[in-house]
Amino acid sequence: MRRKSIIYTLITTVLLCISVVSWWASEIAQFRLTFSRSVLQNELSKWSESRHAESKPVNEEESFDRYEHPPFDEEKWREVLDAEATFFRQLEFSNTDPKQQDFYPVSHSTWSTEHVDSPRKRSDFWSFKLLERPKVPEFPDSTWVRNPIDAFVLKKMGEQQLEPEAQATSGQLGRRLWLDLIGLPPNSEELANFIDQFSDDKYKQTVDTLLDAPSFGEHWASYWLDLARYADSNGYEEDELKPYAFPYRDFVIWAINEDLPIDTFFRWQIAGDIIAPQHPMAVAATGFFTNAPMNTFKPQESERYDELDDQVSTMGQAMMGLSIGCARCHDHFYDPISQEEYYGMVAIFKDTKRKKRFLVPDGGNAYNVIGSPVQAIRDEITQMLLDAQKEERIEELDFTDEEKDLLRQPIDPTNKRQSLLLASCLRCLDVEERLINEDDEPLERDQSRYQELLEQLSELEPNLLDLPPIGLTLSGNSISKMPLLSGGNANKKGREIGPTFLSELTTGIPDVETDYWTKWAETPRPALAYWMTDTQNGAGALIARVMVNRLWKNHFGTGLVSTASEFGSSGALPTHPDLLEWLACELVENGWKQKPIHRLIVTSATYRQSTRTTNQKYELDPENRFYSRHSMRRLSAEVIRDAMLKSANRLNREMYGQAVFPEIPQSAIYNTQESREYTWPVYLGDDSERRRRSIYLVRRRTIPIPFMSLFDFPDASFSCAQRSQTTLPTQALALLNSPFVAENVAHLAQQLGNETTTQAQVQAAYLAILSRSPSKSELTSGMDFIRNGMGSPNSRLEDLCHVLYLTNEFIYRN
Amino acid sequence: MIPSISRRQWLKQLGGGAGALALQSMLAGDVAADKSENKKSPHHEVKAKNVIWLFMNGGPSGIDTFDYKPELAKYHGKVFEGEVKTLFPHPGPLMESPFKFNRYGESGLPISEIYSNVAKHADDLCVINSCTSTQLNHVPACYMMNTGVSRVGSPSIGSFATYGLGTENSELPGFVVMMDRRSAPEGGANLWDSGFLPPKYQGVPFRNDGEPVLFLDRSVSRGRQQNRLKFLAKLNQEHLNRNPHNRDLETRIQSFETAYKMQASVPDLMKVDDETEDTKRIYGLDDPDCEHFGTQLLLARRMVERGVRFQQIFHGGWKRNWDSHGSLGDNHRSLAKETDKPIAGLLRDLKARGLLESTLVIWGGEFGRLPMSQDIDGRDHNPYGFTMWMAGGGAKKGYVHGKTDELGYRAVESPVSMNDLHATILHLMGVDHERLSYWFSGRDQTMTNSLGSVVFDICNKS
Repeated sequence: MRRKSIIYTLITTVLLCISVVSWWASEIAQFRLTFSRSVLQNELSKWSESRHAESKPVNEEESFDRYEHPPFDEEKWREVLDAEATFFRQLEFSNTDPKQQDFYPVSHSTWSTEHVDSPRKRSDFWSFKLLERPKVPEFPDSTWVRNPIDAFVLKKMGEQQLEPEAQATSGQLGRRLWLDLIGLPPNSEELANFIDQFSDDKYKQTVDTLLDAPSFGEHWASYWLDLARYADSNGYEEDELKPYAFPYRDFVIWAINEDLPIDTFFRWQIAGDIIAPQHPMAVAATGFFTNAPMNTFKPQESERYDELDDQVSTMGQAMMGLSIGCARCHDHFYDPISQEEYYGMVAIFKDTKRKKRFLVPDGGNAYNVIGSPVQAIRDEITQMLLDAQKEERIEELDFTDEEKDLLRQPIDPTNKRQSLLLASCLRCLDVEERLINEDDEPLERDQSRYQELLEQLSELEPNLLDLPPIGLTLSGNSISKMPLLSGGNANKKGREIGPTFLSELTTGIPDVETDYWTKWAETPRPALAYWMTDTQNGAGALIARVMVNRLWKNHFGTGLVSTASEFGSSGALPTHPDLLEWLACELVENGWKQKPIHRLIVTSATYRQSTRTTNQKYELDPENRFYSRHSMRRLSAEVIRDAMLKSANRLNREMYGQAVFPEIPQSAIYNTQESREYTWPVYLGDDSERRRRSIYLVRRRTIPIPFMSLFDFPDASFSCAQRSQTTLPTQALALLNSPFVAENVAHLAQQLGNETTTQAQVQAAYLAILSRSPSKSELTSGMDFIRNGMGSPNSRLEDLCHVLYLTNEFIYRN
Repeated sequence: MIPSISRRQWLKQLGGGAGALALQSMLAGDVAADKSENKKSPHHEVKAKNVIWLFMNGGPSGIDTFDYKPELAKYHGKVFEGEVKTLFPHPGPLMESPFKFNRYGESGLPISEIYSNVAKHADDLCVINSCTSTQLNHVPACYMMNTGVSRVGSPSIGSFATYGLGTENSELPGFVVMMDRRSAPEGGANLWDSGFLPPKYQGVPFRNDGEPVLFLDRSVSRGRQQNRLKFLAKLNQEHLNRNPHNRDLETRIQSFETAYKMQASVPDLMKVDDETEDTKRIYGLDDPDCEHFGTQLLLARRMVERGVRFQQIFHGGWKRNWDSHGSLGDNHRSLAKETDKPIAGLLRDLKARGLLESTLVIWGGEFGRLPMSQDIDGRDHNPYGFTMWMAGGGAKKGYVHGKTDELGYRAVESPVSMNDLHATILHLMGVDHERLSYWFSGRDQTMTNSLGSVVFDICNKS
């Protein structure tokens, strides 16, 4: 399956887009919305985007009125995703061969000459060198080896005098597969089907079914969101909610479910808005760079550099497994990354901005055509009303008429008298849009123009289209230079550096006389995107190794390289270098698709081993670095919560959309600004929203959800490669006493109450919670526990369910 | 062993970065540490076994509390001619302190009238008048004060200290945070976050209304809970017998025992009513203005007695805090009233119980305030030279370190950066800030990242 020419791809893209656009046009014509001021203000108070008038983010580009916060339209968002999926499948990415992409723009005059233009010699450091497919060890007599993974693993095991364990039981394999692939345990029917006439074929079919389940993306997205430090708020003082952040999260879920090739997955995140602007998901993908924490209250210059550093460092860690950020203050101590190269990477993002965009195939031009003039009028009206507000404030002041006149003048820092007046009435001129009332009137002098504007508005507004889904994305693609900051200090600016790649990851100068080059020569972000995924001349080999290692880590608990985001010389060396290399080659040659790698891993004999082991083997390899058994693993915060919901038959499987605020203890709502309800707006309808999967729970940076953070859910301050795994008495308290657990216990117990015998109840409880039938003695002791228990039959059942949820067996999967 | 850390990192942290600190990846409050690895040896002599940090949120003015500037009165009402970088534009003319200062104790430390009770302990105070921060804005300055880095995400000093030294009581966290009853400080949970350190080193918020620790109150009766836990122990033991090679399982079994005990021991800790009337009075519990903060400080002492390593108590939160851009006089007078008596009570109580020698008490905000006025009678933020003080825990007594200029605008003598402050606090706790490290993001990270040094001048020699 070779990739057809890029020209062909581009033409297909354009054709498909046209059809999608016209489909959309007919859809959107059905929606119309006029902007009612009260609705807008309602939304405004809900999302505290600009509590302080002066704290408007300096680097957030406003492409349309920031007061236009239409209520999120779930249905429309789903339409975008569905259209996108259809569109994507037609593209047939699997038919394309990345090797054809031997182009990318470097060697442009504005680029940093010393780092890019000169031919490079690629470093021969193990993770930097080009991919080379290793030979698979041969074990012709082995009955254990199922695929090449096992051959590599068995060879290493042999060197350590270790032998593989037997396959886990079908029941254990079922629970393991379900939890690892979709993050949910099987229910009793699913499990029964899996176990019944268990065979290798059945195992493989189940793997395929689970890989195709929508829950697969919901589970695996969490690993990438950790790396992308995704959150639904900005952090710092204001910690504003970001109602348009979720399309990035949805993009990740969507991309994993569609098996978007990893190279495209990365390229879209770096420059999807330029590479595929007609593609809503490609545009949403750039949200990767807008996930950075950001202080919006009177930000200082140095904070912009912190944000840039965060963006480049996170890209380095998440995509390349390199701590590029170390070179912010000095040349990297361990890796061949100079301070110049760091600032060259920063330069690529220096002129980028956060931008809210319409996520529709044509970029929402239809909305802008009508919306922009309306917006201009609204802005003018707002300014008039603000002027009136200001005049009212001045009138109220206890100053002389002459002093008041001075305050009416434009602010002039050299005017000492005016400055002193302002010093004595600090915020008297701070007028705020949010304080404008419906019955506000403009000043006398503006009256006629005001009436004129209102008339224009009443003519134009009925033509407004209903707004499409909006996402917070990255924009800006100009070439700019970045001053080298000595010691990372914003006050010590050195010479200017143009955009750069990392030279030791670059081979020679590719042929730039291609169509692609003439198109993208002036735009560094797409260039970076293509360099990043170029396995011949760029960082492609490195990212392939980093990515397969992450997939391995998430299936086995530890990576072949234990430092999953550190593939530089301060990171660990691979325990199985040939296996890692072979998997990386598989990834690239399979068109960078993830699912075939998952399939290889989970169908291997290595993965299917039991967690049991002998003392002797344990002593030889206590940490199981040679995979001569399967490692028992504690479930993540999300899986614990989701598994409880599913086992109690309470899980709401609805996908995508705005973040959900679960109920948390009042005292855990820290940053109570206006009120706790304002800071943590729990949906007060039925409880279905609270029963959504954990991936949809709000991530408000200054207010972690206690149940999640107790189980090591990261706080999104920085890219997280591997969560800690702690065992604390406070976790035990949460499981013992939190209302969430009690709700599930009560719900499940009530259902078990329908079983006619105590025996059936115990049986069903074990199946629901632990995905297995109880042993004979467990059945007896479970029945005894209920018989000799306290209180009503229902409360005895609750006792049993709660105990099973508390067991190590529930929290640690075999 | 903590399975989440690779063997390589593990060994590195044991041998390389961590030096003498034994098995530091074992935790504070972790039940695993309880039995075998609780003994974490410090690098050198420990002066401050415990820390109680009184964080005056919003930025109290140094020149109106502990940094006496008589010259400022001479320039009152005059416009400062030099350049001033302020958060809000248009600084006003210079403004003298609305408060009187007196000299106290044998040391003769000048202290503002609003802290007349704390002033009685002048001879125990080590006042640092030359603190500097790099941040002009509250939340970045708070992060700077707590983590040494202005951007969000680094471990707070309480987390670093418990990571290095562990805790002495498995039923209580090593790092406890208490908040103002009105609201939490802006910046939220990131202020006591463990950053890249494992989450077990996070500060644990304690409330003195409702549940002191989240999920502490039993969801069912004690008897029913016991019944459940007994059956749980049986099932877990059977599971452990089937899976003998996973050490986490045993740790988790113990965690339920500890949790069960915490449901009794934590409420016991919170029973300040058990204290004598006299004790309650010196903390100001009979005064409605002081009651909340006083109760927190009394709890702080009880936690010190129970081995809690590091405590941070935030006074002031959103809306009501020391951030007085206007009406500084009223603001500082009333907030000082809420804190003066309780702090004096704490110092007195600790001293009477012989705990002050080994407990470092720290007072201060994220920055100070400018000598120029703002909005007629307020002051803007001043990170260029501000005041903090320490008492006990090996800090010098009746001593003033460093100086601001005659107006109290900039530190001009022996400036102490936030990184210096952290290095010094860790030094007093027996930790070498350059040797306590954690491998993250490609390198060994320390609390100060080589940006600070210990201020030996403020450490008591003996």
